[in-house]
Amino acid sequence: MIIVENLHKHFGGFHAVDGASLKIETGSITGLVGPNGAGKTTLFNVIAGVLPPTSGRVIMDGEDITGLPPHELFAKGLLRTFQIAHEFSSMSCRENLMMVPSGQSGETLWNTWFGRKRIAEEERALKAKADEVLEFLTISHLADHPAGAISGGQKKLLELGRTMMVDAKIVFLDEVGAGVNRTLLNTIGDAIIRLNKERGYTFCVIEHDMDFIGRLCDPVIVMAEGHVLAEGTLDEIKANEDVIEAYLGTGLKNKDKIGA
Amino acid sequence: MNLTLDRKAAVLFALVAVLYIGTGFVQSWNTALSILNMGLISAIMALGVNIQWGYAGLFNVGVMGFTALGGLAAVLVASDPVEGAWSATGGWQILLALLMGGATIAAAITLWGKLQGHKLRGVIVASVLIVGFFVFRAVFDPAVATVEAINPALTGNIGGLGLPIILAWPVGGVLAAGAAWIIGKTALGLRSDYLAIATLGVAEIIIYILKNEDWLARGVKNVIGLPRPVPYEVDLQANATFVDAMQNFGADPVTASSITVKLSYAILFSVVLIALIWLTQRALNSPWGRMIRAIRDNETSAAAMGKNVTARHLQIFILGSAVCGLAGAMMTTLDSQLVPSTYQPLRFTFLIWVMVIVGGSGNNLGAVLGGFLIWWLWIQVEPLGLLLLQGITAGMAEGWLKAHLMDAAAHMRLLTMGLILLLVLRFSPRGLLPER
Repeated sequence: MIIVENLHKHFGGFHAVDGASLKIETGSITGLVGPNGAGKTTLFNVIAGVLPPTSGRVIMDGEDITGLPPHELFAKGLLRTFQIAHEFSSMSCRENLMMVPSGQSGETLWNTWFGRKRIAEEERALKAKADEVLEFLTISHLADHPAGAISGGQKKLLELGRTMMVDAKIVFLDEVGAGVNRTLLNTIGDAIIRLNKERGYTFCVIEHDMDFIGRLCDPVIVMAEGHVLAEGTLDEIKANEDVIEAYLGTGLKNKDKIGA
Repeated sequence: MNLTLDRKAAVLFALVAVLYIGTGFVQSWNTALSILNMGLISAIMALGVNIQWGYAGLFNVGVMGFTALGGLAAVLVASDPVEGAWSATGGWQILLALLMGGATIAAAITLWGKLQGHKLRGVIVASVLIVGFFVFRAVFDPAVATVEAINPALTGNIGGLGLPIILAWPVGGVLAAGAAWIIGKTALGLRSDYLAIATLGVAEIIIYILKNEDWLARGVKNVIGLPRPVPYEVDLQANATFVDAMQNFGADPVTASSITVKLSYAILFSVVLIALIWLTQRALNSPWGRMIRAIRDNETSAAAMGKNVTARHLQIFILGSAVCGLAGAMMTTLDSQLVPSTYQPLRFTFLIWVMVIVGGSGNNLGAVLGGFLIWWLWIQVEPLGLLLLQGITAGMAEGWLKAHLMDAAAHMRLLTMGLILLLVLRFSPRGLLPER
């Protein structure tokens, strides 16, 4: 379970995240929606240790993880994908997956010189696992392609695949469906549901596609102007007037408020 | 694809071999071997820079400084001990002063951390530094004066340990690694420009220390006559067995002795180069290399995938610098002398970078190829340029044009380096032997 307590992230005078508090239950697929500029990605970046928070706390399973660097969060099982795919472009898709697990003995220089046998065994197991993941994601045929050369949607799949190379506890998906066609989006959705059911991954999903959110997520959290506006099932959210306002703009009925 | 790259490598290495062997036939084997020895050292330096730039994109523009530290190691390890230099009021007191200086800095850093939020943090830390500095100078200055007063015409420094000079090679690597650790701890993790600025600055500082701190390695008075790891020519010429063997072989013993010495150096250097190629190739073609390529491709993503980017950068920066330090110690061994004023950024930083870029950054063999090729050109372009211009101006009447062209011959070297760099970047932007 992730608890975010009164988190602030200010860039000079701009308050990108402005007192956000939320809870992501273990085993859930929590949706995070909101208009552009609501602070969703900044919130992700603070939780994932890319940006230090101005104030506030992030707690994972009772432990304060605020401001830990990304590689330490990874070790704790907190993984994320990126809004714009961050593949390792000069490496093959398979290598993109094989590099993920930590503590490979071949990551120690000494072993690269004098421990080749153990490395070879580990590499065989890693390759098998990577091929399994590629199969799961229906992109086996791309295994040896350079990751920089595959399509944007396939890169998103590959990013999801990277989280499957280890036993993650919680995965933050930043617009995993952006720029992805409907068929591929369904594949991604299937993969997320299977990972949630079969491997017990908790997900927090930023997405603008409400059909996708509706299919996957319960609950859904709405952010606007840096804080949490509402939380509930998608239908509850859709009926919430604050949410409608945030998405469609302030209506005439609030004209007097703006004046003040 | 790999096959063609392998074939390309074989062809290019054969071409470079032709250049060196051709030099042997056309000029002399002595010349060819001198160029080869520095070519071997250049190849090692290029490997060091390639580890940093090619593997990880770390921009080190202070290669000169690490090379010079290697040179310092050669002096400290191999030159003869100076009698009386390590007295209580001399060498030991200098060491004490340096330790006190280090302790002052360490105390300032610790205090800066401990006093976070304290009103007088700046004042306290500044006063620690100021007091520490004056105490340091009070201990340091008389000790330096004592050491520098010992037979200043010949020594005037703390001298060396008198150990075999080959031991200085790893020590040079360690010295450079230590400097790299300090720079890396400060500048890595910041934006990459800062590493470039830091290396540039520290390299100049190292050269200035070498030039001005006479107690260390005699400053601009230079240290000459460092011992060799190989026999001396005169000893060979005095050795009856050697002279007989060479005369039976039909060779002039004087020439043969000089070639033997150079060949011995070449063998020693080749052993180091081959070992380094083996180590670097194995490291690159392994999960470690994969992790490093991932970090170079996308740091943010590699960090999110659990890789400690700063730690890996520090590791690579230290390793690459250590290789440059090793090469620097080897070079001072070959020269048998340390002359701080010969360390020029153009020669020891820019030229090494040309080697890596022309050879192919990211490819170890490419860097080695670049080292051999560019070094050969660096040496040979000067006489070739002179010949060329003499040929062009041969039929000209004496006059301003001829004088101007002949003056230009001296600049052929830099012109050629620039031209080659441009041509390679235009027609093979990833180097002669690209990464893959």
